[in-house]
Amino acid sequence: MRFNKFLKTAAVMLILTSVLAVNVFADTAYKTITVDKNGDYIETQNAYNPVETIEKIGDEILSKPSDMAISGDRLYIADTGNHRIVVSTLNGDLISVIGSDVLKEPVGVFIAGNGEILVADSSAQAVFAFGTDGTLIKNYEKPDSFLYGKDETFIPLKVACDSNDNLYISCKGNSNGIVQLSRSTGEFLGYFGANEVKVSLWDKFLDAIFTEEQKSQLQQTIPASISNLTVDSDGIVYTMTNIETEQVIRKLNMSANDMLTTNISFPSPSDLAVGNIGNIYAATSNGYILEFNSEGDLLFIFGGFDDGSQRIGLFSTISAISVTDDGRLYVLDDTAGQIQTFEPTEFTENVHTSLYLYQEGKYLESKEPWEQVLLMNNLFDYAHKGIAESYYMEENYASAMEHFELSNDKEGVSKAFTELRNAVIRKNIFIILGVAVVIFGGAYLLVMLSKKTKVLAPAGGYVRKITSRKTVKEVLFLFKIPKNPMDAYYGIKRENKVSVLSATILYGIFVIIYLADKYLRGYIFSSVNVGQYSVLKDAAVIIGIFVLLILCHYLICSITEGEASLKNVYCGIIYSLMPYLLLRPVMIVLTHFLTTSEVFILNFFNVVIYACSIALLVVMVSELNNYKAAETVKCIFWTLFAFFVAIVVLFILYVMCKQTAEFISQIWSEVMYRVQG
Amino acid sequence: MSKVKILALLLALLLLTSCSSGTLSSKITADGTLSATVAALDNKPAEQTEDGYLLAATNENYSLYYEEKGLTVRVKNNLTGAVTDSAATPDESSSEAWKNFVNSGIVLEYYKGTAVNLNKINMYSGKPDTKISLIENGFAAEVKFKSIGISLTMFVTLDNNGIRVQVPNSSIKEENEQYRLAAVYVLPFLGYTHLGDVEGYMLIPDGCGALIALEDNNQKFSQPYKAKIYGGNYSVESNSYATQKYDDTIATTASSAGIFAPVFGMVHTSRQNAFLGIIESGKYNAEIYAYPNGVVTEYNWITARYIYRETYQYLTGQSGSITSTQSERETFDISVAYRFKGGEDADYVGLAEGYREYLTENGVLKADNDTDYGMRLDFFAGDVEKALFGTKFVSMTSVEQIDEILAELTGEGIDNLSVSLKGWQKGGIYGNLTGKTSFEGDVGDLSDYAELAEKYSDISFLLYGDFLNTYKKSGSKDYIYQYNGRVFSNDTFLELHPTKYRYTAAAAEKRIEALAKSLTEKGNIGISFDGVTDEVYSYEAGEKMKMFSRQYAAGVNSDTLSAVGEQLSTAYIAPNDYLWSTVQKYYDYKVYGSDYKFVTGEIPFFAIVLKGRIPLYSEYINFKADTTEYKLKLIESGIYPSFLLTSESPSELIYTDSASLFSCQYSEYSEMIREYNEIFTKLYSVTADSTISDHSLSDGVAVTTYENGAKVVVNYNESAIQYDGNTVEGQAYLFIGGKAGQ
Repeated sequence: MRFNKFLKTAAVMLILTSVLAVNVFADTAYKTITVDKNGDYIETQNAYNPVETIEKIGDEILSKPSDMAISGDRLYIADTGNHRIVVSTLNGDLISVIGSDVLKEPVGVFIAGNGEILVADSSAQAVFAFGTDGTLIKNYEKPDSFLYGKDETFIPLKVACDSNDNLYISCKGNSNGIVQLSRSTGEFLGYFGANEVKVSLWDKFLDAIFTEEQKSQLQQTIPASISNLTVDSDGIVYTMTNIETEQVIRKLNMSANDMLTTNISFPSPSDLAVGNIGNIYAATSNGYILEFNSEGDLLFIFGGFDDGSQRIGLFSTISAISVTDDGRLYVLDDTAGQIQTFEPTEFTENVHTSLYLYQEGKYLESKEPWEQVLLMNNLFDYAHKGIAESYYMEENYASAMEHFELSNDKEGVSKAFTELRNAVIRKNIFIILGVAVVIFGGAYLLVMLSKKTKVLAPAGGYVRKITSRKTVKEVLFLFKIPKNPMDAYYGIKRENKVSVLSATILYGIFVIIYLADKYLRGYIFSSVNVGQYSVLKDAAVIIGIFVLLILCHYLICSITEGEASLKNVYCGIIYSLMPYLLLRPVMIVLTHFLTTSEVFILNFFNVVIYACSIALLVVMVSELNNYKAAETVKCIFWTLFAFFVAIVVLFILYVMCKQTAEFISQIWSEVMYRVQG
Repeated sequence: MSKVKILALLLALLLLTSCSSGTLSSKITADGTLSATVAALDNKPAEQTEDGYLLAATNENYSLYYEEKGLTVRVKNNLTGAVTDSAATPDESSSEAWKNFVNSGIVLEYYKGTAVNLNKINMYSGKPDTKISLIENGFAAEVKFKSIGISLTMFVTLDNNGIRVQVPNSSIKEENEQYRLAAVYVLPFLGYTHLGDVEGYMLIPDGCGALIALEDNNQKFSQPYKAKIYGGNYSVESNSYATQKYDDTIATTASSAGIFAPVFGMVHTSRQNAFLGIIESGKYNAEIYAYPNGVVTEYNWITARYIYRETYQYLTGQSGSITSTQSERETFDISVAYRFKGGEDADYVGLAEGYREYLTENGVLKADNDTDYGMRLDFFAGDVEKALFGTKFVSMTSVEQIDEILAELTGEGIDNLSVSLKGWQKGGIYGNLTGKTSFEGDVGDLSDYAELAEKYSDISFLLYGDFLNTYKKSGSKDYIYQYNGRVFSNDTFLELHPTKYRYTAAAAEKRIEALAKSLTEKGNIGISFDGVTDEVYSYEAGEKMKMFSRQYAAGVNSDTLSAVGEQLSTAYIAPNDYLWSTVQKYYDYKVYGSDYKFVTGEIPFFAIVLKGRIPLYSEYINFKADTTEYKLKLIESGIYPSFLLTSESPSELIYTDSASLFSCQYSEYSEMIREYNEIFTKLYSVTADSTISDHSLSDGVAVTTYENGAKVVVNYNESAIQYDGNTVEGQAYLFIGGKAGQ
């Protein structure tokens, strides 16, 4: 059904473009950006090209226009400075002027499904409804319901409605949400979709310790008021919040739940519009235009601020954005009082077609248009994601996995990998079983044989010869720890079972495992993107942490009368990290074979590693220093405290040195400037 | 050595100018600059007009008048009677600085003391002592602004094509230390019009050429068109690298098309009168101003501003800076020729033809240049990505793969090709060019590439090199320093190559010569030059950090490239006008402008000038979002197509700094290459090596007429149109006449 509509509008668009004269040929003044698979901004070819600048509506000049709506082939502009609504054709030919006699400061305009023109007037503190012929039908003023709030003001900024009698009004400074009225009766139906308040840990802490009086002195944590809104043809409400928040745009269903899967956040939002495939357009007051798909993923950013270069496609400020059914954008620059129109390029048309099919779950049909998109831009993230889904549907898992990987979709890769792995297992199940039987059987036989015939004696002797070397023996002391930790630490402290050399080797191994864990995990579990390597820095950080920790701990031990020597501490810490040294390599190998559904196995390993390491460290502190329980806890607490203090001090030192150096260089260059004259 | 060469060249050029285009007013001195000596004649002006203009000179075509008080001129076309004035009626309501700007023939800008704001002084506000003498073919005016202690002499002379205005550097005297000359305007209001009184347009040299209609703008524009010729001289100018950033990781403004040739024009269609201003000297320090009405005054006017001193930022730390002005004055002569066109020729086509004539007279354009059709294929060898330790080269196209691609194309008879290899050097596309010829690992090596050249002898093979920009700085000798003593650098927003530096012209010369020497030994590989062709900066160098001017740098680049061109085949990427005399292939010809709000039309001005004299190749077609429209633009102007190609999929580039090359795999483009080859072969068979003799654009239909009678009709509309009884489908084209039929 919807697809038919899409096709229809596409056809209409073709006709429209053939009628409109082609008048601008130029390279645009802006670059278009999109996100790559790592979420970084990247340049792409133009998504929209500027087509026409509407400087005047007929002979009417606009004054500080602040909103705009498109319905069918008509354009409605809230001409705020001239206190009126201007109605024109999409080419800017004047049709009529509405509401000059009643409007004081029209700042919002919306066209209802039945053609009624709804106008939010912030000075008149009312919303007016005009008929299609411009006659005033109704006005909505501040609701008298006590639920509205007696002290709450009613300064409408934007207005919208759905086909079910609901009128939505965003009001200035009203943090309760959107004011929802009945369109037919004007009755107050309640507040809708208030922004959530983020309560930080600190707020909670203050709340717990402060008296009522003190709390009243605090700045109140009230939700941000909604600055802009629109409603699409399905009655879904989109809100925009004009302050720094993680959810600048929300897409609310009937029960006011946000339906966006990705949080949309960007600076200086000013207006939003919804296209016919559910894609969301947003404009910023500093001149940028953003397009998101229906789930909130960023597709394109273009436009920008006109700093006086006077180039088409750049804006002083944008107060409103609207989109026609065929995807043409109308952007209102309120400083210049002009409307700039944009048309999607060939590339964007392809993206929209494929996105539409993809969103409808028609993965197989979407494959061809996605291929078109990839042909024009082989690095377009969503195209890889889309095409991967269609390969997956086709059961071409290898290609699906490749494209999922190109779009950095770990869930997708995991999904495809599961299928591939299953296929391999299914195909080779007998071979796998056979190999397992041979290995285990062989090993068993070998052991049995060696017991009876000493076939393995020479090998055993060789092994023994190596393990009996002092350093090797010391390193292998690691395995004694789990058997009886207390004895083991006694061995470290009193019996010289380990040496500085063996501990250093283990520290080295630790660093290597740590780096391998970061860089050599399987793709699905890797947290490092290709190209984001910082091996030396990582190694330096981990070594630095060890050095600081050892020093701090030794310091605290010596002032709290612990018995541990520096060497004891040095060796004790690394031997206590035995679980990490033994289990983490196993985990790294496993990440290459597991999928996201088996992540619990890795979590289990993690719990074991952390729990055992912490337990061992506690035992170590207690044993090496001959502490009682309370002393141990105290020592650990002080060590951690000293550790953080040391970091803070180092940081302050660094900043001071930098500032001093800067100060000296500044004086020097100023002196040089004066000398040179 | 090279400095001597430049001077000689300059001298030759100036001599040539003087021979070919009338007598020079001011004699050339031994060092090639203009002499300030006024050779006054004893005559008195023979004629005075009713409104007080005195006749200075006259010839068959034009008469030159002047007016003593404001030092403005009038040029009368003796054939048509059309008059061009340089003085408007002052608007009493406008500010002091602007009031008499409009009727002054000379306006100065200066700095006072250590202040960095500009002060304007004109012929009325400055009350200068003016001594006007008639000289051969014109007049000379010695102007002394006593209040600021600055004096200069302006020579205005008449020849058969129009007038020439000159201010020799040696005539400029600054006698009061408190006042330092910043800029000079000469005859700024020549050809002005009031609001929409006269039909016509101004021609600005933005990109392909753009027009600003002379219509009443109802004050809708607040800013004029201002652009430096050859872009900003950022090694002197304060940090004005204007980039808009969406956030700290990405810039969003596309740079403007810029000015690569020092011309500007004014056309009064309704009076059938037009002129083209050609800046002959001073162009390295000039900017073009075009003021549409509504910006400051009610007049439309276009002129050049000659800059003698800039402000710059002297940085005193990470954040602190002092704004200061250049202490030494830039030394250059001002010389600008105004070529007039009347009657039928008074339009942009006429001006373009005038410019072509001028360039031909001066030996820049030659009729015997090889301008045969060719297609440019640039192959992208690769770039580096971050590896666990250091970087790793991502190979995109090897010499072997190029061989496979060429075998396929030539097999189908597509062999009018010009092949460049891009990113061949160590470190890939952003790697340093050292002058060595060793290729990056997987690409192959020079002898493999030379073998290709032997195998496909019809195809020209080039190595691409940007000899200006570099992304790694080692040592300090070879880099351009800014006037404030800092290395000239800017952010690239690239992860692995975050900072861009520039080689000095001398450092570039060293590298180019080394590379050219190795290539000459190989015999058949040329160079396609980037960077040094379209950007030029003055620079400090040497132990005492001596300042070398922009003109000097341009001269060094020009000499270096021309010397290479004598040995090897070369191509220049978007070359500035001072390189046109040695261009073998002109790459990256821009068919668009910068999309300014006040521009009412973009026209193929430079294509009309250069087509048929220099082979023009387009920018890469791959990266255009609307390939159909771009194709039509190329057909309209007769620009040959260009592609950037790789053998591997560009998705391999995701972790490199070349991730913006989002679409370039040969397998995806082979069809398009065939299509373009067919179209342009056909186009060339019609137009041959003709120049363009006429052009029109209305209602989305462009008609380009060639000297040989061929016509190219391009329909940008979606719907079909009729042209001379032929149907041209929507978004399609038609070739008529010429050598072959349709």
